[in-house]
Amino acid sequence: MMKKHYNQRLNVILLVCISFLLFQSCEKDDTSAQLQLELNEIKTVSPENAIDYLNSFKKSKSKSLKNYLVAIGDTVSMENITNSSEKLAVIPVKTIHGNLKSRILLLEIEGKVKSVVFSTKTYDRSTKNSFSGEILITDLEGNFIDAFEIIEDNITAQYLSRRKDITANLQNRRIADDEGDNCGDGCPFSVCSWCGELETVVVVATPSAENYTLSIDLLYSQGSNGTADGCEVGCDNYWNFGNDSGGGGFTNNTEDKIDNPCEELKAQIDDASYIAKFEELNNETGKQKETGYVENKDGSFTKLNPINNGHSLSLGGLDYKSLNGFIHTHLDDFETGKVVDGRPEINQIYRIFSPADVIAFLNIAKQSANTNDVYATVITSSGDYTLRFTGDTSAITGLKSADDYLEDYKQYLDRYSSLERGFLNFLKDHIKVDGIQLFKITKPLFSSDYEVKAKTLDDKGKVDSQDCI
Amino acid sequence: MKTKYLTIVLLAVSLWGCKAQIIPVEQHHSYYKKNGIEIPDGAYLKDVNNLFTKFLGTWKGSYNSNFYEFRIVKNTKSFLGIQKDELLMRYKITDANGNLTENTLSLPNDSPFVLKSGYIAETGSYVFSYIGRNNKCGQNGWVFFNQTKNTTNKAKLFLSVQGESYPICDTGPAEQILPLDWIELTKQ
Repeated sequence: MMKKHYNQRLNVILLVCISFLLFQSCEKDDTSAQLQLELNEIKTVSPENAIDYLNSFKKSKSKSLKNYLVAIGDTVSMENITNSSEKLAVIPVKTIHGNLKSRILLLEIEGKVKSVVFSTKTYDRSTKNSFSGEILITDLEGNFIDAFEIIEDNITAQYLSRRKDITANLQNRRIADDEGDNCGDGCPFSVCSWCGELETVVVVATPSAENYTLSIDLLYSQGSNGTADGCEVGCDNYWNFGNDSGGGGFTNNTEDKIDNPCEELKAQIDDASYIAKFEELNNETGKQKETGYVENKDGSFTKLNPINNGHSLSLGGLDYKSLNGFIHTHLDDFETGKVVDGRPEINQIYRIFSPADVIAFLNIAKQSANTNDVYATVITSSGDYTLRFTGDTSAITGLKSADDYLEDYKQYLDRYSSLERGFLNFLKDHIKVDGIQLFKITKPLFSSDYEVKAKTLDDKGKVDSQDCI
Repeated sequence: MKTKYLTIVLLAVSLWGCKAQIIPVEQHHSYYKKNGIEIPDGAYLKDVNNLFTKFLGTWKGSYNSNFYEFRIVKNTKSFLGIQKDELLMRYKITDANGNLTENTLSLPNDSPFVLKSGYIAETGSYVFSYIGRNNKCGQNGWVFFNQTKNTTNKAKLFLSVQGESYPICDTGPAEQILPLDWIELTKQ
């Protein structure tokens, strides 16, 4: 009995000791983690990691239709940060604001890679040692973070608005300082619309941008929410945005353009020779023979040969390397000429791309040096569609012969009442190549302008339409 | 005891909820052609009015000195979240000398050369999707099968050529082997 009691006490003591040791150990861990965090508040993003980060971003944007970044430069410069041995990774970019000089800034802050697009417009009054101008800071999508006006190194105005609807509104309207005026209403920014749209302009007039420098805190709005108060990280660390040394830039043929199929398609519709064919074929859909053209690399058009009594067009025997794409009709449903009890037997036509069209389009894309130029257009009486390619051409693999897809294709168009839904689901499930973009082109009644809508599938496999703005 | 009753009631309610929506198969085409209404997931396009019966069986006839035999059976398939009753058609063609031109009679249901994916047209004809062995050069289209009114053993059929040709076709447009005009058929 005594021995049992003794053992119980011993167990309790042992448990207390182990708990104490564990507690101590945990305390040590907490301390070391805290020290680690402090050490890593600001950390360099290596050029390799910067490139990986941007490649990952570009891949995600290949499916997007509204690109803020127009092109990304081909060099990463590692620039000094004051009071720190860490470096800021700087990559030149072009944005939709063609009048601004823009750079992507990458820095690891508290363990996470942070990115901003830093854009400047320099006023004539700037000197070598004193900056006067405007600064716009956004994320890579173009979402507004901060904007400043700086006069002789003093931040004289700062926008504080973070309203998402305003940001979206600005982006949708693709606001840029094309007019280059001074607004005439006291608005300090050359992009006048910011003054009308954003909520607050605070004149702080603090000497916060001496000698072309801004603090890391202001660049990334860490803790301070973009204001001068409440700074937590990078308060005493400055970057010289006037430094162009090693900043690289855009050399001919080396800039990495970001695909924007909406822009490409709108430019195509503005092209006189293309739109002439487009409008010509729009008068041909009621006929019983298909009509179409291929567009050669030099911009000229060659008529496609009708075969099978005009029921289809021959895309055989063409050198796809020499083509930009093709435009052709799919006919209306037509009467077969056979009648039952006074009623005609009607031959139905799928008024959207066929599997043969898709395979021809992908083969042209695969062999093209510039997929931005590649397209396929089908003209029908119920709508005109264009395909564009924004994916990776090396991923165009494993395709079957076009005729092998016909059975599955018909199943999808049989299943869904919406041709677009059937077609897009067919592409997703059977063609399985990322980056095929479908657009519908319409001309509203009484309008002389064409409207373009991008057609994609949502998470539920239904069609989502977005205006190409 | 109460729990037992509750379980039964809940099960019954669940089964009621799970019951597939049945759409008469003859309405399929009008669903998307006329009304643009999507067929709901889980729906069953069913031959509730026995419209398929008159098409079933073996049918024979001749056209341009060729002899044709068509065999039509009913099938229920599940695809893309719905069920659908449909007709399958196989065929055999021989020329005037008895030489075999084509024979799909023994092919499995999933063969592309077994005619399927059809619908009932406003004329009452059953319209089959057709893919021939030389599909890449234009052997494709719709086959219209009309069972003659007020008879049980007469029907007629023709092919409306879609003629979609594929880039890999290197032999020129294919000759069509199914009748391009009505062929009179007799049920065997």
